[in-house]
Amino acid sequence: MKMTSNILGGLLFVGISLFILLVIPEQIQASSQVGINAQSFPRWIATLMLVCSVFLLVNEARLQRKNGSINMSTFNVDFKKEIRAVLFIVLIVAYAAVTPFIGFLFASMTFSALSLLFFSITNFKFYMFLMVCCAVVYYVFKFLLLVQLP
Amino acid sequence: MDNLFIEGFIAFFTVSSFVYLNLGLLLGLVFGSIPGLTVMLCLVLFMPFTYTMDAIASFMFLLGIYCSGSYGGSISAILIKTPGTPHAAATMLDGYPLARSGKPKKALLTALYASGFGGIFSALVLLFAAPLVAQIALNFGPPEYFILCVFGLLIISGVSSGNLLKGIIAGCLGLLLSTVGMDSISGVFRFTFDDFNLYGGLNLVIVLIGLFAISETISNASKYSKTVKYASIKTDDNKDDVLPLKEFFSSYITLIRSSVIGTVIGCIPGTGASMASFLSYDTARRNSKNKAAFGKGSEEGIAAAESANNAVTGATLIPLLTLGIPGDAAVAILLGTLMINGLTPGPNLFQEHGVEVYAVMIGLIVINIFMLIQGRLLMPFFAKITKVDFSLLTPLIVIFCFAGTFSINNTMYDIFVAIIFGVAAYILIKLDFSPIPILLGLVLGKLTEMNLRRTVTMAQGDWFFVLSRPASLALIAIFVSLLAWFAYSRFRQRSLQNKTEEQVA
Repeated sequence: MKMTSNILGGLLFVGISLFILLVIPEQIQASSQVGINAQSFPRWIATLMLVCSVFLLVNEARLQRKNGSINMSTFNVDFKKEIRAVLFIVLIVAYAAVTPFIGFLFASMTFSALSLLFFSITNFKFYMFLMVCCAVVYYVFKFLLLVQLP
Repeated sequence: MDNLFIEGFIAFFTVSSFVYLNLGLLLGLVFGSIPGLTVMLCLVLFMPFTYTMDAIASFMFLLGIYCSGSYGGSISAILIKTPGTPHAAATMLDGYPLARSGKPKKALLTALYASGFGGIFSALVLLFAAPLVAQIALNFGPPEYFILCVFGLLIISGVSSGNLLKGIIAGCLGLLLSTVGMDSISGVFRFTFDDFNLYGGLNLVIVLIGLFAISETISNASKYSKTVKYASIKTDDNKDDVLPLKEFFSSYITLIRSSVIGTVIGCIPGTGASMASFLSYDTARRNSKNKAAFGKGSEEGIAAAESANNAVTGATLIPLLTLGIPGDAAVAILLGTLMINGLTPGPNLFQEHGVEVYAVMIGLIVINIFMLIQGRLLMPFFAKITKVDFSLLTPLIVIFCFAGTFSINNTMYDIFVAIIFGVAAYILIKLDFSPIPILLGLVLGKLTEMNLRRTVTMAQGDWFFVLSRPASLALIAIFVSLLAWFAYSRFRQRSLQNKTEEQVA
């Protein structure tokens, strides 16, 4: 069987819905055992999600068997692209992690500079432009909107 | 009603309304015209700013973004052959050839005037039709509301994903996320995992910033290439490149017909501007005296597509304001804004907050007028806007996301929540799951659950209770017919789009 986005998505949501169904008794105290209570809606929705995910898997398997999985496109991961995505996520997380320590303004300036390096930008004007933008955003939020930035 | 109209007019006519609507228009134009930036992204990024505004000003600001973003998409479609929004693809078919033939200003002006015409047309329809629909909807009880919520979710799930099952799964995820925090009926905590930050539930804006803005930046970062450069057509002064109003209004039949098409389609949740613009473009082509000009720079073609897609903007507010059902993802954000300001959309909105509703409806007409003014004044800068480099925008968007998220509760916890949702949305998009049904589920979740629980209590075990109510029965009949029509029109739109593009090519 080919690993298509439907198979991977189906498996992911089967896992999520089973997890939700398992944690419902622990996470939601039932106010009454008869009739509808706080557990009912999440339980019905998680069950619907499980049914749809299973149906997605079965449907995909049936189609692959019928067509001999010739026309199915396998879920391909472009590693070069995904590594860039992972690196950018790391950059965002690092930005969030250092902000409380060095403050919003300096963290934003550092993040902007590192982002431009990430995009291999060598034009100095781009760096200057973003530094000014960081200062403007900081000024607008802190002094005009009166938001207490870290 | 007359009193409400006058009071609404007075409530709208403030300096703040005019300032914010113009600011929104400007932002919408910029975001709509840059390929890769979306109206949704703009709405999500600037939603935290509305926290400090009153209900009317915040709605004017976001409506400004929504309306001008719809027109903004046509700018890049005309100047660089890259539609800034999906529905601008129909505008591109004639807009780009006309611009390339040395008349970019004429193409942009046709698109601008047609957008304004369609927008004002649908705003007037909204002003007169919405109170009537709300009057009918006053007879609705919990069962009818539950049916409306399910219908809204189902339709959006089907439209936003190529696969209905995937749309329903994503919608379920949104509904489950809406249950996090304290249950408003029993007071029981749900899915909080003993984390006090989750006791109040997930904040809509924080989740939205993660789902739509952070995921977008990750996606842009992974795809960015320095070699991709857009060659923009310049809007230099050319004496022949003008559009007299007389010439524009010579195709008034096309304008009116397309505006009607856009308004009717916009009233139906889940249909959207793309369907309206392609359907109206095809109708205009079939009825035109000069069919051969279509695809080669026909002004009628641009006018048809643009007036229809902007006519959708006012019409989508009809189901939103009267029934509380958002017609598309952008309108779902407007629904969130209304709720944040304590205005729960639905028929009672007209009873309880009539002045604000009328102010919004009158404001929509004014927004379209100012869109014409701004579009005209900013025209010389359009060629420059479309060429803004993504390497500059991506970090700026992240910085805005951080500042906006932090401003909500003044805590770093929210920023990490937004990042988690951003990464999750990036993975889901990779697996062909749209984040739009998640948004809808999250927005409509509480309303759906409350009405379901009330309906079950009212039914007392009688499963045919809902069918015994004439209003419910009528709604079910309407929705089944709409679903059938919808399935047919989607099939028709797909074949139309293929056929039109083939013929034009």
